[in-house]
Amino acid sequence: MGLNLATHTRRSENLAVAVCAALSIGLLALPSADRIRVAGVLGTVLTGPYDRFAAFVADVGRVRGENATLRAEVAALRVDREAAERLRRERDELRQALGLLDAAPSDLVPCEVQRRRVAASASLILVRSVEAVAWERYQPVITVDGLVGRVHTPAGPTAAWVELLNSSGVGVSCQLVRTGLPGILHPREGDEFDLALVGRDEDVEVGDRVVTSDIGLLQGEAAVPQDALPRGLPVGVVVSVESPPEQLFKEIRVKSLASFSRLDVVFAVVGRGDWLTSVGALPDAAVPEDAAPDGAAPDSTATGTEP
Amino acid sequence: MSHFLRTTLALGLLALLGDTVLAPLMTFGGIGPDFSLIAVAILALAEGAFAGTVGGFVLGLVIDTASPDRLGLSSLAKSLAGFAAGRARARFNFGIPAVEGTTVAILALAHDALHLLVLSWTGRSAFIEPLFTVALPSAVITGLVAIPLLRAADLLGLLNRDD
Repeated sequence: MGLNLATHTRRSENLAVAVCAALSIGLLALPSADRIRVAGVLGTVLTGPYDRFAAFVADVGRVRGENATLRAEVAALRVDREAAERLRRERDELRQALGLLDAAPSDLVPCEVQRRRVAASASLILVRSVEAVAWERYQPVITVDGLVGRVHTPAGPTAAWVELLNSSGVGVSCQLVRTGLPGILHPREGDEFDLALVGRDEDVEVGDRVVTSDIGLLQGEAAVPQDALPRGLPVGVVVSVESPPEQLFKEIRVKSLASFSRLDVVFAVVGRGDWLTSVGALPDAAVPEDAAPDGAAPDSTATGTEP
Repeated sequence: MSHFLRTTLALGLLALLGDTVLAPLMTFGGIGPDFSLIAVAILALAEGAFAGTVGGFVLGLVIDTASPDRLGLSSLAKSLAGFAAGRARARFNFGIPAVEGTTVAILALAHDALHLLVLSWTGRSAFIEPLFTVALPSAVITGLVAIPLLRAADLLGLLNRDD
């Protein structure tokens, strides 16, 4: 420090005490309002840094306390997560042992829509993926909005014909998210569908979301079993509900979440149990083949033929 | 860091922590030690009358900001106390606790007497009664508390100045 206050003459000391005393007396002599104002300014200058430091120290102490609490909560949550993970593994093992399909699709393969074929019997699109996919019949195909169709015929390792949901004759097993009520989705016109086989006294409201159900569907006179779609794929929203007195079932109209007129990029849902054969490893590889449900066995012969 | 700066910082810290943390624990019925006065006394004994006067004035101003209606009173009393302690330095016998404690106690009594004098002059307090019931016992306690602090300052080398 440049200022050395230690070595001073008596004269400078006397001067210092005279100045300090004069300043002090001057402050004492100030009118009350001025004194308070000056005290405020001096407080800001002289004690402000200390006050801020004290507040900082108090904040640090508070944050440390909060951190300790949060660490305890994190530790408890980690224990809970471990327990949940263990339960999930046990559930998976049990599901594998029972031969149940995994309800959650595990992977999406992006595909480009290359061709479109509209016929009286079906609306089809040809999709092509970058990587090889083990196409399976009825493998679901979605957009970022929701379900648009299902694989109809594989056309090579990276291509497949997809039947759109609005093709005539298509029936998809669905359920309402809010109530869990099952129903069969049939195309009506454009992006609208009918949700059939929902009892007239059931609780259905406009705005209810419709998702796929993993319950298989027997359709047609030949009663050909169709593979169930994974449960939970978004399909549409209920836009109108009627209960005609002469009918046993409600008339429910559903608007599709996905648009069938603007299809550029779609996603093939893979990685769900028996669907998957070439993208990565089989998630349920440990499941014996004879444990797979009927109709879910993978079709290893991707013919590449057009429908 | 210079000796003066170290001494000033250490004593400023003593005054700050003493008055805000320790003094409330040692004060009963308004009677307790005055740590800031002890700090001023040590500063004056270590660095001389000039440092004691200026240090006392600044420290007094800091204290005054807490009670704006008495702005200037503590700075006056402490700057005079620092000046007196600095002047007494030449005759001060370091190392004798009784002398050290008595010196600081007398300084504290004079400091408080000046306080009371100004307050009584402005009609805000009596003089005689609080001088004996508050100022005197406080001065004794301040002198007693000052003894270990002065010893500690001496051990830390704050008082070993040959100037």
